[in-house]
Amino acid sequence: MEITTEMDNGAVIARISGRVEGGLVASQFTEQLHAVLGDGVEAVVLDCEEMAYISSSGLRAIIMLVRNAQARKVPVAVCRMIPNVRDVFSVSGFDRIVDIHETREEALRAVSE
Amino acid sequence: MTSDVRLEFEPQANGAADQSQVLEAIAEALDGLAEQKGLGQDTVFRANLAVEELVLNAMIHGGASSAVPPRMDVALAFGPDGLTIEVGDNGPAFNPLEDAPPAPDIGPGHDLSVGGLGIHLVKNMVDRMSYRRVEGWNRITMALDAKG
Repeated sequence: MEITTEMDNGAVIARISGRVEGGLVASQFTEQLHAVLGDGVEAVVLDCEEMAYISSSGLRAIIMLVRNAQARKVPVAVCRMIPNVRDVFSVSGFDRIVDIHETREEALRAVSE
Repeated sequence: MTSDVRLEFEPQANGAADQSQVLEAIAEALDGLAEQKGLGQDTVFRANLAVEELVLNAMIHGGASSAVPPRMDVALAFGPDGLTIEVGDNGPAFNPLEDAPPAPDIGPGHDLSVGGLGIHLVKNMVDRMSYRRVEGWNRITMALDAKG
């Protein structure tokens, strides 16, 4: 699991790659994801193109990020999931709390509005 | 069941590192089956998720004391009809089909620590699932049908 971030105007794009499983990975993931929402961040896009796997531990960390962001009125969008990862998000009810997009451009546009 | 792979775990503690050790062995076993028997990536993904959620659930909630997790085993059998998985643990009786809390509402203001998300995912990842309590062990059998 790895998270790399880049800024696009005020939006932070966090690219999550690899396996987001429980145990040590989940602890690292939670910590790194928490750091994504730094001071001055106006929007967050989670780019999941290279996320190969996610289980409930990783989902919980993403839900916490979404909640923290929403509490600060910072919009969040998620994009480019492989079909299995997309299924996990859908089954969890994620579509109800965050916008999911096919492309990074769409996601960026959605959070910039 | 006659299995292609059988893993046994006897973790001495329930830290993140202990959990990772178990999870790595499970992922490795599934990758091995994919390589040797042509298990598809979709099946590997769903099986990995189902087994991870069940073993972590057993480790976190199923120990005789809060410090020491139960013993666990995982058996995988792949045939023309698909993949059969059995996950066992010798913790207190827990039937995920009846005893798990309902799927949690992940919306704002709802408590995520009540659990239920993992078991909810398991039920949605597998095609069939059953539970037995045998000689002090929880035994969960799951089937993932071959696609196409």
